[in-house]
Amino acid sequence: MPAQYYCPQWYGTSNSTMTTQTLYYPQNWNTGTASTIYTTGSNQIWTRWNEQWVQTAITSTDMAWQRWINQSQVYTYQQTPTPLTPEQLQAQREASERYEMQRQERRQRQTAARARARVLLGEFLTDEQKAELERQGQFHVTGSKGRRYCIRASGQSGNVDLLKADGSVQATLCAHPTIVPGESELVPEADAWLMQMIEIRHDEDRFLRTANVHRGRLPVG
Amino acid sequence: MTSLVAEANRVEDHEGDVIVMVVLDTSGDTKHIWDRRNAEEVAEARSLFDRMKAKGFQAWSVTRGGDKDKRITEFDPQAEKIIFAPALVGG
Repeated sequence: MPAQYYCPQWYGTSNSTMTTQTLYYPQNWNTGTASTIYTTGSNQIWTRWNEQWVQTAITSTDMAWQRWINQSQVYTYQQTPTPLTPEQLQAQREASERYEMQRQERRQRQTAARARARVLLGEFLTDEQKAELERQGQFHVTGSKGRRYCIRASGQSGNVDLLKADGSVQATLCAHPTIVPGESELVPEADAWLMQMIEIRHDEDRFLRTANVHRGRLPVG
Repeated sequence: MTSLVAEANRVEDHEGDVIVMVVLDTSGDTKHIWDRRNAEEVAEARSLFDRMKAKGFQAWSVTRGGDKDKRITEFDPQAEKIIFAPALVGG
């Protein structure tokens, strides 16, 4: 590859099947080795040009120019918009409306599910834990081996802190319910907090084996 | 059991021989209620338990206080409340 590259400032074409596309003059281009490429990033043709330039053995400026034209023509041709028929436009509108309706229904379901999960969690929390959750957005749990944990009511990933004796954070842990079999979403957050609490207070060692450590480290032994 | 299947959050209203099975899912939870004195209902509850286990859910026999929580692998008609939940995974 030559150290000096040729770069067209613009290229446009127009005929019965293609639309004109003006290319942008690149602000930077390679003037060093072939492995160093600078692009404006905003022009796809320029990006393709650079890809071709690097990947293809171009040995003359004529070949480089021809490559540029070919790439531009192909890209421009693919970009040519096809007018939609009235039927297609109507179908497009209906699909959009269906999507919006489904999105709203999904949001309503999720809101109701979050409320139900919160009620269920409340059935298992002590009054002290409920007060903590209400005031601080977190609650503490004692594990089956006696360690203390803080479950933060913020998401269900990386929301559990294993605490030291002085109350500071020993490690931030992540263990959450997997996606429900046959479903595509996680359970509501409050359900995840409930399961984290149950597993910690019943089978702390298993929880620690399952969880990934996001910050800090687990105690030895 | 079918006539007793309920989704309402009325767990606290049931005492004694009425037992609740809670399935955590994307709807929040679905509660199934049965009478342990009724053999037919218990059989349906056991069938549901087996189906949920087959789907990969974990089952917990739990109490409000948490002092008797235990993971269970077989249906326990004496359980006060059973929660089914997807297994925890490291994230």
